[in-house]
Amino acid sequence: MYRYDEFDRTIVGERVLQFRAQVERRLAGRLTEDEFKPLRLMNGLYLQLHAYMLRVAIPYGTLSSRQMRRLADIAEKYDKGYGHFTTRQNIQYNWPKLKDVPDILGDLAEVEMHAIQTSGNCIRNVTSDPWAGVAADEIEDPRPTAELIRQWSTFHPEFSFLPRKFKIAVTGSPNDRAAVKVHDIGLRMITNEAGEPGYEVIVGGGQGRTPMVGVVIREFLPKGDLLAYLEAIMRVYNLYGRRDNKYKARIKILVHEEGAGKIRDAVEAEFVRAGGLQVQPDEAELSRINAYFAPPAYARLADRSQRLEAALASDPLFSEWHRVSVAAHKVPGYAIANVSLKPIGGVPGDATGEQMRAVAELAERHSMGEIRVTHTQNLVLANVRKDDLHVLWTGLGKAGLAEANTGLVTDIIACPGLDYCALATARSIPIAQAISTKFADRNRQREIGELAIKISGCINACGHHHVGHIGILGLEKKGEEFYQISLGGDATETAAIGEIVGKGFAHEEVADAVETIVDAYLARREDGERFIDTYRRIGAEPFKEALYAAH
Amino acid sequence: MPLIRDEGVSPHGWRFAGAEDGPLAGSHLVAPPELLDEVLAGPSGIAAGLALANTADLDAIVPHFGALALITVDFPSFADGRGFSLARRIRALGYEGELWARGHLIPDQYAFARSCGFDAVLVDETVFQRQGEADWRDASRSLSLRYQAGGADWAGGPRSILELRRAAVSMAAE
Repeated sequence: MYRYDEFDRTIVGERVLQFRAQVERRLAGRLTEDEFKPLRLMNGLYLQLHAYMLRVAIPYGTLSSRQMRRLADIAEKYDKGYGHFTTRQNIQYNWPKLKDVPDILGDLAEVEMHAIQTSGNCIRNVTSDPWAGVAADEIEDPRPTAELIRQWSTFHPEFSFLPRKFKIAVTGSPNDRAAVKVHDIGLRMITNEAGEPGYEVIVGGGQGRTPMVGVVIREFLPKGDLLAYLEAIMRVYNLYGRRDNKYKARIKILVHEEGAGKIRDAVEAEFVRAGGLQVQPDEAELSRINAYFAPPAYARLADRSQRLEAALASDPLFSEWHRVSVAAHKVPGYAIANVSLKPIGGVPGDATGEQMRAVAELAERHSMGEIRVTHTQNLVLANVRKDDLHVLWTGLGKAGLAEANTGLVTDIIACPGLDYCALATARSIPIAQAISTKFADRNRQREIGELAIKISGCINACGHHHVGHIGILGLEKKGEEFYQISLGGDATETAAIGEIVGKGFAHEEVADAVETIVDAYLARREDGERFIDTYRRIGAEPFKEALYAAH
Repeated sequence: MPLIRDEGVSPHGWRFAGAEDGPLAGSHLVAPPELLDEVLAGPSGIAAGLALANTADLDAIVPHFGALALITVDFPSFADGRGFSLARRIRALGYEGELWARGHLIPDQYAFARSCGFDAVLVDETVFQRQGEADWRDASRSLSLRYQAGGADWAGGPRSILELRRAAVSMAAE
């Protein structure tokens, strides 16, 4: 993974002092609250319902064991002993005190971490495939590109006061695990007919109150043009994006109102016009970044592991976990292990300090000291020897982290909702807990198969409900929470926005409604179909009938 | 409105057309685009300035770049970053004269303004009353480095990490 050099270290250290000075200027009244707010947000600090919330950046979701231990220390020293992994591969602390925040930032800086640009109207933490560098289906490792974008976008002088927030995601695999089509900019690493590496550039995707699937504005962008082209997109957005209404300020609205063709022309013209500006780093710098992501020293192993096969044959619980949690690695004898942060009835994405330390320890022993965070609020150990999988599983089990539900009905995404968030209109976590508990039975989960349930507690869609196979949106009317259900959403390469199925449901009805939908699917599915396949084949009608005909 | 430069508050002799009474003639007059022709029609050798909104269309202005000694770009609010992009465009199109950011900017934006091609900030009086010269000096120098390529170096301002890394590599090679 990337490691700081003296310059990265200096700038992050100075950032801590800079924030201390900004807090002082605010407290002395020299900065107004209006002026302080974007500065505070660009340091990840929100004022929530009950307390401040600090969002810490985990660039493209990659952490070392040392960093994970520090996150555990912070959870215990400054918070209530836990942290919350988010859909943007970050971690949030829900109970820090304002006076502690500069110290927390100092503690983070010691392990090459920060909260820079995790909020505010700027380019946010860049996200990527949690299986980057190891996935069997990968064309090219997206992490060097993500790191390049991280550095270029950090304290960008031109793009720190945008019309609205801006999110960039990168994938190096045709199977999109980074949801690039629902980001402001999505980059797919591809090769052209001549075999040269480059990017497909997708613009204007997003969720929130106006969900959109992004459109391709450049079929093939040569690698060396990346930052200049990104600047052209950003400049067009910064100059022409709407600033009269914050709900219409994202680039997706600009693309939608002006049309993709016009935006493409404007970007291409800007790209030409700005050709003289020096943007892209030289080859030496790109090689320097690349070197950090060179494949680690893998052992030469047989692809089949007798130890693994013996354990699978003798231990049905392990076998069950292995079936849903382990994915194919590009190197023989190794595997990718997904670690669920979705225990039955638990809070999606939460981990205690003890659990963080346990994962750090297991990663050190079995996965080269590195951990990934996924946009589905889970963790990944990306470099595990097949021989070690059973021992790893045993260790995860001791920490309460061996739930065998990755990708299944209880692997639910949920935002913090009204339990924490100042923007929320309804609770999300109790809905997730109720659904999770209803489907606790492992055999039933296996029978249902792959199913993505995503829950947001307000229209801002942090819980990604628009792209859930089953999406749930919590709203409020006359003081009562109610929940809209949508079906058919998809965050992958076949991205789609879900369609609202009908009238909303009361809080206590939601889990039953989900069960009705699942039963309707099971009754109608054909061999080998996932929920989303059946939905695409038969449409919403049978589900509407099941939900509403009886009422 | 005080003019903030790298070395601090600096005097200047420019007048803004419309901001005060007086003839639309003479040297060091900053005019909006609709009055530009009138100003440029004056005697040769005078310094002429142009005041732009952050929504300005540059196409009509580019031909006059050589005749202008100053362009100012308005910042109606510090949260409205259009002026930064406009400055980059103005520089990319070849303007080499003085370029000022004018209006509601805060000290934390000074280094950004400099990196985008501005030479100075003409700041609202009300902001300056709250955050004086010392705040501008301290905040503009709070980061000694920047990740981006390009942009001018100035005394006390952030230096490009890309250039420092390149220098470190060539030193190591020697």
